[in-house]
Amino acid sequence: MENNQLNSKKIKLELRNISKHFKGIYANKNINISLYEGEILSILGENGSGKTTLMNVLSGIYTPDEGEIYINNKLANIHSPKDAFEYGIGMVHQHFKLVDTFTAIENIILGLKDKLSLKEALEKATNIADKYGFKIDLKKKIHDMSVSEKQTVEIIKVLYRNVDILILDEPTAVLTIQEIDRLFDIIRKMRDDNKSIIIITHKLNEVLSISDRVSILRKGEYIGTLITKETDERELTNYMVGNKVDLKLERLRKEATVPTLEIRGLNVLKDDGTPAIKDLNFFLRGGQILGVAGIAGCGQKELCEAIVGLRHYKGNISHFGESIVGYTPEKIKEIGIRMSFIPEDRLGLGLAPNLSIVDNMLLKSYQKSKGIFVNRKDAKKEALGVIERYNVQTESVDTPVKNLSGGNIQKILLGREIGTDPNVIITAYPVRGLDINSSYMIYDILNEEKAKNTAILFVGEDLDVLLAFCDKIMVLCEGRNMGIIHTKNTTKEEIGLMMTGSKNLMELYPEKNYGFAPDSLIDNKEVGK
Amino acid sequence: MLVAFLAAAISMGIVYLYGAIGETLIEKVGNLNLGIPGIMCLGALGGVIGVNTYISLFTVENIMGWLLIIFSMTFAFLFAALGGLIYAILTVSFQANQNVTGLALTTFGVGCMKFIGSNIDQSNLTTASRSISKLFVNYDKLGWFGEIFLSHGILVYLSIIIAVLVTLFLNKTRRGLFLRSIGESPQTADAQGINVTLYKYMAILVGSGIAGLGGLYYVMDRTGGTTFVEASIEAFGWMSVALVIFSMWKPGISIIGSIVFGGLYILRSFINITPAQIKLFEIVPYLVTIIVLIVTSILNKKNSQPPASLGVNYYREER
Amino acid sequence: MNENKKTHAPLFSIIKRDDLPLYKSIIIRVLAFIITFILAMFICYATVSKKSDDGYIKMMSTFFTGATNRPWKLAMDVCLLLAFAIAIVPAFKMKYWNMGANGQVLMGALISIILMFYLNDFASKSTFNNILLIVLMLVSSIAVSILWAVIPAIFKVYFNTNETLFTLMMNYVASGIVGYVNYILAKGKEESPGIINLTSKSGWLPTIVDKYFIAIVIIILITVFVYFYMKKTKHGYEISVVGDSINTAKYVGMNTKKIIIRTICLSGAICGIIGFIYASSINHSISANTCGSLGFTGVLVAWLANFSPIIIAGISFVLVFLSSGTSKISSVYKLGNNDISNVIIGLLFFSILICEFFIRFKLKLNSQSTLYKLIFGELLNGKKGGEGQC
Repeated sequence: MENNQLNSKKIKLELRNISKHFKGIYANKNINISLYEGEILSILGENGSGKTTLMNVLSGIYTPDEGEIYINNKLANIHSPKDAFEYGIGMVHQHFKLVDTFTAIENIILGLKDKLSLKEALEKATNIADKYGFKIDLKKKIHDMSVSEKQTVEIIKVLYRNVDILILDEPTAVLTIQEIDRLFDIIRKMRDDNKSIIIITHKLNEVLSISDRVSILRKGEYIGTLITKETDERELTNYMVGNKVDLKLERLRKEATVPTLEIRGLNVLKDDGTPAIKDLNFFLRGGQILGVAGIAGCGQKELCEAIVGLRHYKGNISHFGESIVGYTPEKIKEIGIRMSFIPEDRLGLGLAPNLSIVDNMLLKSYQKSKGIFVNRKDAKKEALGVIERYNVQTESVDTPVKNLSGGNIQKILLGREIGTDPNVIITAYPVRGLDINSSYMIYDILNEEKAKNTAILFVGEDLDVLLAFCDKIMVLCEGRNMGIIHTKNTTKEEIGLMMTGSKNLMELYPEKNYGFAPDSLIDNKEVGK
Repeated sequence: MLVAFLAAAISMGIVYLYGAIGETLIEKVGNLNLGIPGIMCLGALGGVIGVNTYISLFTVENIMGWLLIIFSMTFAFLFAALGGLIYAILTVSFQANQNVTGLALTTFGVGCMKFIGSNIDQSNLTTASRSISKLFVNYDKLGWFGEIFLSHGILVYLSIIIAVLVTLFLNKTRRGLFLRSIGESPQTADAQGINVTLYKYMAILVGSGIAGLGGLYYVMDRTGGTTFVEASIEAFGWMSVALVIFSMWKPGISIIGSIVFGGLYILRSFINITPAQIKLFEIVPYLVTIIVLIVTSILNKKNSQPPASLGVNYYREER
Repeated sequence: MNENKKTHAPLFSIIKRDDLPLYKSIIIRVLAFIITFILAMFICYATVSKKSDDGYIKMMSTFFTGATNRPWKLAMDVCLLLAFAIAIVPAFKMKYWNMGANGQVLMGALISIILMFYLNDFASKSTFNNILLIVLMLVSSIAVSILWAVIPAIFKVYFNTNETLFTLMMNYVASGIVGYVNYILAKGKEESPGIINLTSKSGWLPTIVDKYFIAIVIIILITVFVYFYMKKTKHGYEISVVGDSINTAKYVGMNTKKIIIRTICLSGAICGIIGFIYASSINHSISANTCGSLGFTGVLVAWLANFSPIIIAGISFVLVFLSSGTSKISSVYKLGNNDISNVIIGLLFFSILICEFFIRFKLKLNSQSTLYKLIFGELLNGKKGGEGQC
């Protein structure tokens, strides 16, 4: 029935054969998508499947290399966001595009040439907010706002422009459950207003609960469009990840050793001074992989940075019982702890993008050679070794790493870190943006390390991977530990509930003392619980 | 004494004020223009050429103050804006490093003024200057008030009007808001459909033009047309850059700041000090600027910070 | 919604290039230089022809004799510019915008001048004493310049104070101090004591081969040192990492604060040596204008040479050659002053900046732009519209 209803509707927007490539790699290849009036269309795809690029093309941020966009069956020339607005297309970006030092209303009227005074604009924006049920102070400055408030400003900003095609890029990534529900209500209201809405996401449950139809992208290519009511999670997953839907991830069976790293009462702040991690206790054992699950931005980044000494924290971190509290990465290295950190932001934190592969190999080892000169000979050998072992595609060892593709960049980073023979590996989203084969190679490397009794902290986003790959999973919700469970004793649903804070093992079973090793190497009197 | 001092402080400060308003406008779109000293020199050059053009058209005997001002201002503005255009093309369209482009422009502008200037007839400048350096004829009838505030040429009052207008424009108008948003976050402005390139060009051209009036004012009003080629406009240009920081990117405050800076500069002629001490006095404005720079960076307050994207070029498809 | 609004397609879109082969980028640069040179000579000739009947050939020969008739002076001038640029390289490589080389050199030169002035009697007693004085001058110049350079660096590191503006201001503070000290040395009677130790030559570098020989050798040694320091040492490596990504540097455990301050000290030390050379070999006197705007020109040269010492040396030579030649032209033909060379240097920089753009980006003609259709529409009538690159 839904189907018939849709067919009777008008086609609002059509993308025909859109292609866009960066440095010879296609981010979008011959994409064909259409959007009806008054419908919610999900664009589903893994990270790196080209969803955001496609929407940036649509909203005028990027110019497509090939292809055409039709709006109301007329060819549209979109060369800038301004053009997009004039065609009635508005986009809420994943990374908010707001001016921090301006107030909400100043941000809302940015770029508009109506003749309204600030006061009149404020009135109009307040009316819109009331109509859809937003609660927000529009005179507040952006830098004083919470994430969800900022998102609200973004949405009001688009609505204020009276758009009829609304694009939301990963709108739920930063929201709590209640906030997501509220947002979805608002989106449905907009649909009832005959607006067309595109939601970009990689979360299946959201696709199923909100959208009318779903278009799937994989590795930059268009796979197909389904009517939501006629499909299910299984089918969508099949389309999204392609043939290799069964995760052939192997969990290496192996005895874990004594606790390598013990963390007690950890408190870390975000850059903006709000708490990221609250009273966290956990430990890592050698030969064991501890997964960390949680909604994006609930303290994972800060946790990793605190452990490796890049961020100030309160609390206790011990390495084989020895306190390393307050140590900088320099100091940690100095006292002989072999800790490797494979950060989320590879080019901004792990590697120096404009330096050659050789020089990037040197980053960890340059101080080892004697004398005042750097030893590039050994680094070159190391680089050649990594290139061969992990099959890195590159012109030469002197190529700047920024010129490599994402997978190859990650292999260089991981290769270098493994080369230092670490006993602790902290890694965040190590396969993000990588193709399947590279991803499996990364998992294999981590398993090899596990076999060598390395303690591994694995921050992940894909629950299936976490369940298949890790020995234990720690679930974070808004920076708090919701419990640590053996993967063989849990299910995806349970972890999902914990991620959203609806199930808190810490409160349910306080006697279990989650996060404290029974064979702790710390003198407990000193540290206390 | 005090009256003469204040009058002189205002008269001197206006040189900086023009430069600072222009530079503020440019920095508000995120471009740090170190070419301001060169641009002010170009303005001075243009102004003098404008005066000479006027004289060649209407002869020295027939100087009408207002027409001369329009002539010389137009020329000064256009010459300076031309310098700004070079800077804009290089940094906005051609993505060249702003510091490097600015310094090259300063070298070029100072060179142009001195080279072309030395080949220009300067014999009529003093005469011409007399007709524009006093706006109100009987200002001395109002006593100290007249002496301090009404003894100046039209360019002094114009600079204050421009400062007020620029303040109003930046803070009260839609376009001013758009312009500031570019300096804070060009990505955001672009995503909102603001034409970043156009605004940058406009701000740089108009800002340069305004700064160029400072050069004109110094040669034709402040020094009465007596020093042109030898003028130390370059140093005043750097003072203008300093004044922008001192006034924390607010043209309104730079009106006061310019008088402070002007006062510090001319103080040496009003107190009894040796020529050696004069040299020490010269560094005071720079020291004050350094202190302001340090204090604002330590306090790190949101509303006294430079525009967030200052010094960084904007390229849309950066990935 | 308005469906028929015109859209804003620019005629060209700017696209980042993949790396251009080295030979192409060199050809582009050489072309830029030749075009500017021709343009510059045209400007010269346009002015000269008003004042003299000499032909173009005659003017050019004046230009070349002007540039080459005093080879040691030419070499010294090239080396000075080279030295300024080299002093700036380590800092700039770290993205620390040191605009204060002028001030740092002035302060270094100043302390040397003061020592020369007050220790003249002591140094005149024996050759050994004179050598002692020269060493003392060198050491104090380096120390004072380091101090002058490191003050903004400390504030940058701890409070993130804008170093571009800070170092810029420090130049003028240095100028003021130099002016003041000059008066003191001249006992308040004159603006400056003039050339120091003109008769005794205490604190002057001895003349071997030429007056400037030792100074030139020192600068060449510094250049070679900086080349190896940046390329081969751990310090140089750390600088390149900090400059590329300061977060990465922190992540691998580099002490970035220490590295920045240490590097600025090196930069300051080189400025100190330049100051020492001014005092002991070139001017033997000091004024606020002693180093002109070499600090800024040095920045331009270092940047445009992409921090490579060899290219810096090349550009320095070209610049100094051009400006000595034009300076001869302006004195022979009485063009008033020497500032035509600044105009030409400015033009040269503009043209190099433009070709930097064409090395990094390419322009793509936009087939959907209104302008494009206007220009090429006739040609492509009926066809779908092509795309061209240039």
